[in-house]
Amino acid sequence: MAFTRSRWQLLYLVPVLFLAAFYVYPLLTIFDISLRPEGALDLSSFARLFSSDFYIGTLLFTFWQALLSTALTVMLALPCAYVIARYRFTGKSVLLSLSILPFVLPTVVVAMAFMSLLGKRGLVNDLLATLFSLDYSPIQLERTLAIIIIVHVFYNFAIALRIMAGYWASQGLATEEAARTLGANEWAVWRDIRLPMIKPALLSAAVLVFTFTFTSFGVVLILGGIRFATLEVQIYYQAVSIFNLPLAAALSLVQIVVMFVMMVLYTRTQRHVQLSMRSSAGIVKPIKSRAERLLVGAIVIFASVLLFAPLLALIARSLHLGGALDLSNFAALTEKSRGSLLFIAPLESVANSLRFALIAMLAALLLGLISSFMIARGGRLGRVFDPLLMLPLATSAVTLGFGFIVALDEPPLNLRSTWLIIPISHTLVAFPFVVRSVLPSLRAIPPSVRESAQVLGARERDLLRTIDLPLISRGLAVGAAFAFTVSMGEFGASLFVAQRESVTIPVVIYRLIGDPGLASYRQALAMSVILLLVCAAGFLLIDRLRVAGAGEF
Amino acid sequence: MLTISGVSCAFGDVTALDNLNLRVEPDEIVCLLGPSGCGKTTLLRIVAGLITDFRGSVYIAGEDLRAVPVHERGFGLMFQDYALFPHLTVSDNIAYGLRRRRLSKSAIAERVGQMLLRVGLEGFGDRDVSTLSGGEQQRVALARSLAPNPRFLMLDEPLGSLDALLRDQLALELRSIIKSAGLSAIYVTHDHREAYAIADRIAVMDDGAMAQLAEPMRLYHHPANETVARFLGFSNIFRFDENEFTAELRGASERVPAADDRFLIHPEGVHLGKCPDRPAISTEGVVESVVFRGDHREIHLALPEGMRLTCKSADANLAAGNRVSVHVALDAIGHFG
Amino acid sequence: MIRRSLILLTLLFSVSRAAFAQAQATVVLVTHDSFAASEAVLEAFEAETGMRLEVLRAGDAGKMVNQAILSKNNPLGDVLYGVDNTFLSRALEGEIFEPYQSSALEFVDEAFLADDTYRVSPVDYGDVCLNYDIGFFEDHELDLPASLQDLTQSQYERLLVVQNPATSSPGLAFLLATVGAFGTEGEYTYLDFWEDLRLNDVLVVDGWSDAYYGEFSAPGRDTGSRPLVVSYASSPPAEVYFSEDPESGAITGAIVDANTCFRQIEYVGVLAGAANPAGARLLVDFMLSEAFQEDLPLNMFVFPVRADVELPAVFAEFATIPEAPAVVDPAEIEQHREAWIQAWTEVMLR
Repeated sequence: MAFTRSRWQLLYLVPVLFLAAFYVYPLLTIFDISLRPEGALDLSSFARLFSSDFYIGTLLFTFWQALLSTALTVMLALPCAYVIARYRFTGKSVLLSLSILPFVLPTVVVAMAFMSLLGKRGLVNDLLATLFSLDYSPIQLERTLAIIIIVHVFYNFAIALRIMAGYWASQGLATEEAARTLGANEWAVWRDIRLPMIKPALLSAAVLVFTFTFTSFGVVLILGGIRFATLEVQIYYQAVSIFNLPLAAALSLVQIVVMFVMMVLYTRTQRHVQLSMRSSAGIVKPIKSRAERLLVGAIVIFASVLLFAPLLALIARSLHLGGALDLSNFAALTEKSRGSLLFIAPLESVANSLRFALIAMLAALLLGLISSFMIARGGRLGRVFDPLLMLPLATSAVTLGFGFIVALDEPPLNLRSTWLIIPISHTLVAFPFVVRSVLPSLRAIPPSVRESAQVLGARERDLLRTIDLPLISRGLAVGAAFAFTVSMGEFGASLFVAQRESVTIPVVIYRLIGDPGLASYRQALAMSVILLLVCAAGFLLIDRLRVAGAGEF
Repeated sequence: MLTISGVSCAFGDVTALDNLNLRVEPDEIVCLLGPSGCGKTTLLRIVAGLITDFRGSVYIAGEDLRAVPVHERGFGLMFQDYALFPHLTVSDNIAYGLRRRRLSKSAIAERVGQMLLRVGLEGFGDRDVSTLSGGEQQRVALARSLAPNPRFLMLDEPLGSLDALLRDQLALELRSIIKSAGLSAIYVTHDHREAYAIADRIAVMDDGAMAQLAEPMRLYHHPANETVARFLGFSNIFRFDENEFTAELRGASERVPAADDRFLIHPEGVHLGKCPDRPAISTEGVVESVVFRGDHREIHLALPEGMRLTCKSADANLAAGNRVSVHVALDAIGHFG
Repeated sequence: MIRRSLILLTLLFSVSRAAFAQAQATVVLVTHDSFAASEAVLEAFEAETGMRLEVLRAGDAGKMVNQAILSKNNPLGDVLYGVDNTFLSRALEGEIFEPYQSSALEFVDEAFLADDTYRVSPVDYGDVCLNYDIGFFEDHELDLPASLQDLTQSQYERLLVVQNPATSSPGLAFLLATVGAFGTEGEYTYLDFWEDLRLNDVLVVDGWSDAYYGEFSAPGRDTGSRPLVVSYASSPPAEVYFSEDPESGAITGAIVDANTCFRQIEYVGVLAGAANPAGARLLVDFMLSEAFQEDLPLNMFVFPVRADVELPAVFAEFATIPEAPAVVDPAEIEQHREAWIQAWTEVMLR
């Protein structure tokens, strides 16, 4: 049976139905229960929200910390992206691949890592105290806004880096050279050419980072302590501790509306990005002068320290907490300690995590691919769909989790207590990443390339196999890496799932940290290191698979 | 004015330029002509200062340019794909170099107005450059490079992406604009017709080296070697000892060249049918094919002993298979070197 | 590639279908993330009853109760275990349980019974108490605080770390202990006490693990500096049990003086509308059986409600049980939780 173009378009239904079933429907159900408890719409929670200084304050703080984090992340990632896009140096691709690693770590673990690095008795303070013979800790970051921002930068640096580096690499040097011949010095080239040219990618990165920091939960809760609360923290508190569902729903809606506005802005800027990506390919140069070597070296060292120092501190601690080098924590992970912990040996959770991550990755790739085609070639439908599919990233996990429990409780969608709900929820968060990675390459394929293939006798499905897929393979690889990461690091704590089937690495980490006794704590650290290693292996493998093209991340 | 001496440049193992020398005199337009990959753009970028990794030296008016960074050279460079700033308007593009020279606002506005007028884009100042046609973009690029009164102008295949009609018209305009601005310029192209129209002198480059440097007329009539000739579009290239007819041509030459010398026959010196009223050598030939070229016909002839000759004719009655008498005027014979 | 992925998805769905097909012979236990039990003990239950035991976990206790209430028309399982006295009132008001009086309750002290209609039965309890670093107090020749009020004295300045009651279960329990000890009305309320604690430089962190591993000064940690922490009465035996050298004895201790602790009691109940009510009742009986009760201490570090079961040696030797924990009525807790936490937040953040 020959697939015609319009038959192919039926596939557009797949992501639409997926979002409808696993996002819109659960969300509407929980909002309905929350805001219409007695059958009549009760909006008094909104009144309470907007008349209370406390909630207005929370909203403002949420905005403020997200703005600060975003500005800092983008500013720091900018020179690094430039160096990565323009210079050839050893270790570049590894740096780029591993830069997503922070993304995978549970907040609890990141908090531990930062505390052992920057805490009162952490590595840096020890070092400074010894160097300058101080009897106090010079760096006091605990429970400050500063540490929240620093960790936000740590988490989101890779997103900004990848979006901007990818875009820059696709830009030619001609305009820069034109400006130089007209008398522009290095500073003027940055101000007049590079910054205006990178602006679309910079805005895209900024809006994405803003989304993540605006909805920040664990970082603010754990590192910020009680003085700081974002909307997401308030939603959790209202929904779980107080069980004030109307107020939680109102807060969730405010958050979703704010984020939707951001998403519309974001997808707008994205269209600009893709249009100008058609320009000639960029030029990567070897490092020549001493000044260049200094510049590249300094920037690469800065990025490596920011991204990897906390991870190394974590690894160091897992190896020798309390003085002596000790591998027994790792050995203990293969045992089913006490014959009971979570019913499986911690290392078996690696298999579970990998299984979910693979399923979520495949599903995210499939849905992301179809969605990208729909957005790039589906006209109006695609334009409307584009900002919508980003919303799962902006929705409070606890709200959606409650939605799952009440909405997905009957056949054919009786999924709330099966393990399938885990990869489904991961896919929901992961597939927007695939879309953002694939879209630019897809939009950059000139129509003439597909047309010439058609003239040569290619059917629609041949086009897909021989033209589209090879040309977007790099974007797909990047999307796959993000989808894999999202799934590996997701805790999925808000879901009811059968215990035996669903114990993942993050669940084991939380569980071990929750047990008293130093041995459990060390095993938690060892497990975090294993999570890091598994993910690092995953990224390197995925990066091997890519061929050519460009992605946003 | 501009002196390039002993310039060599390599990218990895590939030699782009090999010991190149060139002088550009005041008010002179020199065309760098050659096939793609011959090093002409590399030379341009060295002069502009965009490539700093080379051996040899570049002087302008006695000043060594080696230590002068791009933005302080005060040169104008017009890029092949124009490299307009997509985020700026037409006026802002043209004003860019003026702003770098910190001119006053009013002086900039006045100069931008002059430039728009000179390139025929009055009223386009506020337009977005992405809304312009190819020819209009080309004019903006030219105006942008001329606006700051550069002391030297470089143009890199500026007409390359335009259609033929526009190209002929703009080539003339370009020359008159450059001349009226009193500028010296290097003009890079791979189209010899464009080079004839624009250049005071043409430098033909081949594989990183200078193959010939001459005025257009001299180049046309006396290409230095077979490679240059072939690049200028000549196909009637033979050796004097090829057959009886070529030997006869050799015998009729004023100064007798060596027997194994190569030479070319300019197609307009080949007459069919009636003998011309100037010295010529005659033979018989068969028309192999006729190509209609609008104002003339291009005739491909087969002469005895397998020799093939191309010429022009206005005769509409010639057809493949016709036997014709062929007269080669002696002044149509071009010697190399 | 698309077709292959579709086939894969179809396969996945049919696998999950197959899982549903076995549902008849299963009893489903809904519980929180901290649930743990020996595999052998659970297998014994399955062997005895011929039913498969399925365990569903659902985040922390609060989240679990909320989700159970939200899904009460179509419950997630047959039995809910792990609701404690701080959330009990919410669960009972949510009408998620069906009464069931297990015969094993005769072995349980009546003080643990919270509901005279037997909608829930107690299973285990644990006391949230101050823990101290034995070495620190010995080295500094400092006396242990004997009451909460003592903590406001200057010799304990900058020594205590507690958890935020808004986000931490032991944090809330400790707040409730102060509510029980000082009351909410009168000349010196719990808020006055907290004000004094704040002036004495108490440290508040978000969660138990931050406090216990990050700030507590007991040996083996490399960042903590505070010798007093809010934790559990079972933490000292757990420290010993998990230490690399269990022979070396206790390194931490719990303070169990009257009115310094808060007792968390965990309950189990048959969910209303359970698919397998008979199995559910068997499971409740089982959780009150000697075998399960004996297994509790070393799995969840709680004490069994049955006084007749034997405690593991490490508990017998190193655990201390407070005789008079502070008491707050569950209904009061549910009613005032938000207000108390809010008032606490204002005092501590002012």
